[in-house]
Amino acid sequence: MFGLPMETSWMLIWPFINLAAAFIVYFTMKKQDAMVDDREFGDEDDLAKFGPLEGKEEAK
Amino acid sequence: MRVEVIVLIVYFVGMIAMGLYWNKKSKSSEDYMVGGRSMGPLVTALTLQTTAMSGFMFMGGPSLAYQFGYFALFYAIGDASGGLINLTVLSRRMRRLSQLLDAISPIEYLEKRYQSIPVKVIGCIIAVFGLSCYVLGQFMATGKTLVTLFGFPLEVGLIVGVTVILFYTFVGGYFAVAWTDVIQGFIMIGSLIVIFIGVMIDMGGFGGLHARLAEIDPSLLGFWGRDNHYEGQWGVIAGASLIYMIGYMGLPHSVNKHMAMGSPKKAKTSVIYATIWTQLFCFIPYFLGMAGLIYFTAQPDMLINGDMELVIPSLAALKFPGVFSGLMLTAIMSAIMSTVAALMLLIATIVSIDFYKRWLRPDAPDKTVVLISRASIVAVGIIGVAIAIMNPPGIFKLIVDTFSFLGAAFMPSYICAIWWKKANATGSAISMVVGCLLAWGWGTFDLESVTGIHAFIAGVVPSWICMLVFSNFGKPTSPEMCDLIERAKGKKIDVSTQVQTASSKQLSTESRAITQFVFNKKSALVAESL
Repeated sequence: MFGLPMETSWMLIWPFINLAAAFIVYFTMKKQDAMVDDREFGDEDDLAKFGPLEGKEEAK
Repeated sequence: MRVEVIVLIVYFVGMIAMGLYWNKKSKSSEDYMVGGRSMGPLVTALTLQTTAMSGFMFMGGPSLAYQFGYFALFYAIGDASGGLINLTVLSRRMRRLSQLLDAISPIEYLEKRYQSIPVKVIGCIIAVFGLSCYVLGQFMATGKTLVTLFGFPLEVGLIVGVTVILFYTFVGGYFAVAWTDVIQGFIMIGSLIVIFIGVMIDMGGFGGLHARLAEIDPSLLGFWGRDNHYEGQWGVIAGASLIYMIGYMGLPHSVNKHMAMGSPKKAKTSVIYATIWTQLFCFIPYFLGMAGLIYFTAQPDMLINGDMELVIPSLAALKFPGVFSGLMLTAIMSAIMSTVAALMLLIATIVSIDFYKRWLRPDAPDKTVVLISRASIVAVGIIGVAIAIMNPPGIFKLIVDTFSFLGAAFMPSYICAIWWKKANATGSAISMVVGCLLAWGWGTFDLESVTGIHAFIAGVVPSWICMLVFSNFGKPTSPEMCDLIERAKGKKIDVSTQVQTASSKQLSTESRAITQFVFNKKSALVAESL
């Protein structure tokens, strides 16, 4: 590729592999996050969705 | 006055102004040290990455590419994946556990997770020593950059640069560091892309770059390095890739960023921002290093001071004199300052929180803690400048050795803290000691050239083995801690969102039917009564 020997050509593809991996991680995390209630850790979306926590449930 | 000098002065003034602005926002020690745990995904991603990408990227990395060609890209490959792996493995669980443990420093976090004072003491010693060496490397890069610009002695460059860094870290704390990191992140990437495009057009694209490199020496295009210097040394190649690919998970100033995230659910967006930014940023300096080899082989006198570590400033001065050259120097200063500020802030946190507040004076008021942390920032600055002036080390070796030292020491402890309940104080303490000593010895006695094994690999593999083996001995993790680690996985919603949505639709249908029934019944009753 671009005059590079075969054994080093793969290095130029690496950024695209990382980008693909990042999107896979993003969608996996999104799926996992949807199953988790993070109100005690200050997640605003969860607070809006499920309402405020009761005092005893809050993290230290 | 030269344009470059004006650009740099404007930049310095801007950074100091931001420090002063954020000073007013910091109300408590938690605000000062972890930004009140309120950082959004963009700030988290950029502060993580700009802290990780130091002066090494503009000086050490390109100088390696200048010497060895494509071999140097193994470091870029690891670096480009580092943020993604770090955020994926650690971020969410570490954010939750650090809050559950009420820890605001990464060493305090280890102490509380492993419920052990020896873990804290060992961690503090390793962290303060390693981070100070890292700061020293950045100071050297600062001095060299300012020497390039003004032509005055290294001592003056060091004092001017370090004073500005000290000032804005000193007054602003984490808020200032995080927000200046965002601005610095954009300056770094913008300047690099501009100069990269200019140079590649001049070279005739990648094809032209490779053809000219092959004219100098075809082995520059192979992955064993120039003259096949590293031929067969798979241990060195594995270390070069892995040191930045997984090593960030052992750097206290890097894992600290997970603790400051606004909420664990910010992590997924940070993954995207961090990965895009690193793909744009990590490879370019190495390509510029190789392009520099082509330019300065033809015009050796244009390489400033004949110093390979100054290949990027020399390229900027050669190809883009004036504003762009000034911007490039600003980008280098951004890389250095964002890293140094985070390092100094962390050293200050360890000294003020872990040593002073939690050991010497537990009843110390917040004001005194912040004062102690600022005093330690000044002390580290003065000691660092003094060492840099008296015995200036090379940037590449110092950074890689320190990275190996910290990564080998802390990585198993941070990963196992959230992923392995059985990991205990015995395993953590022994893994830290063995990892850092082996990595340090390997670097100091240059065993890499004898054994063909990178210092990072030599330290991190035994460190992991020690963690896995010695966690079977000593006091086991308490049931309370196991419970907290379980909570750090995240509290499961009892019913999934799909089920909730489906049942709410179902319920709304039933609700409508009941309402309709009641309404009809009511109407019928009213009609009957009439």
